[in-house]
Amino acid sequence: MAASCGRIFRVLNNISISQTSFNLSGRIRSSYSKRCTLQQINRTSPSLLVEGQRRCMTTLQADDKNIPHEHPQKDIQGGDQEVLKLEIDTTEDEDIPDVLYSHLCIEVKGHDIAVLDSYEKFVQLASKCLGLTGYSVKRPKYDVLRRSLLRSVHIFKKHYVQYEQRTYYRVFNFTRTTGSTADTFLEYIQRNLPEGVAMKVTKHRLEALPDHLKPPKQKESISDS
Amino acid sequence: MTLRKLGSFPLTIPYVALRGISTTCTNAATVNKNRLHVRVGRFKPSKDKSIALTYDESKPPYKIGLEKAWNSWNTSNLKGETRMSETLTDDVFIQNFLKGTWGLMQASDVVIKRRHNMIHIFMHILPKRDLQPIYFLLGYSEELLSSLLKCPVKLELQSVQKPRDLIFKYI
Repeated sequence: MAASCGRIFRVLNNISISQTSFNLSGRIRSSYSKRCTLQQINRTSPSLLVEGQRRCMTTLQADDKNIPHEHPQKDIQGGDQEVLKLEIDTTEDEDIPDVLYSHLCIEVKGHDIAVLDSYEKFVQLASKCLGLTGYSVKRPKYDVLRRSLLRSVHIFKKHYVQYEQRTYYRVFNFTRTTGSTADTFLEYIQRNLPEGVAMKVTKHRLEALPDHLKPPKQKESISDS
Repeated sequence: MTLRKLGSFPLTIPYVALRGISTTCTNAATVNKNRLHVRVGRFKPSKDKSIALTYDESKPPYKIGLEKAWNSWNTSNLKGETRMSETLTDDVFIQNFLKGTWGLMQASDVVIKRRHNMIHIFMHILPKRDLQPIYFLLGYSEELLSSLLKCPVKLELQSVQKPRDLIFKYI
């Protein structure tokens, strides 16, 4: 599973996702269950690219037949759209053991509560599609900065007007994820972060106990004493 | 503003409205009272309806966030975020730079969006017959702004055939 998630991470790392889609109707199926469906669907024109390294755009394959998707599988072969199958190199990934996170905390703040609401829906959908467990959302109360200014240009000291700046918060928590899943998910989330919204990520990593703190191994034969 | 009738008084609009600011009071009476006192961003109607306004200009400042959007999108005004003044100064600089580079070809206000470490700038232009100078100015603006602001800058232009296309209202 680590290897497959590593593969997915590798793929998304090299690709520029140039369209934001809030209707995630697809699913990245992990290849360990032998149903790998990540494909490069078409070659986009240079004007649509964000970064020019690899000229491709991925779309998530639709699971349900009811949900229409732009590029049905029939039309891929032939026509103006070229199909390129990804050749994923997994030799490196299998050697390095994957990092484990016990807890992933994503704090998001913004001025506009509607934007944060829609981003919350997006994160929820994305986490469902990528199979992340332990999703929970907290909505802390907003912080305000208020200033009182004179309402009138000249005199009328008794009358003021108050202006305020509100900062709304959302906190997303995920429990028990692997490193590659977390990296993939965070990369996707961050690429689609709206402008004017700030994000802070806290990862709690699981480490093995250091050797000097490990309990001594029980010996099979009882010691001489 | 390129859409001004020649000879009319200069209309100053605060095109650098800070992100996130709104009035506190929700009481209708005081809100309306404040709207009367706001002098900035509002224009006195002329007798012969000769003043042309774009959509952004026609909406008063208290409609920002409701019917009107900011010209600059960034996170600097959030609580716990830094670089409030630097971002603002950069925005003013960008606007002045583009005004100087494009001049009369610029048809609208500049919208600046900051995503990750990139600055996306959106603008309407009035293209001339010859497109080569426009491509040059586009590349020139992007290159210079990138090196001056020390981050990738992308300038996205939308062309408008006539100045009349952007006019929303005559007052």
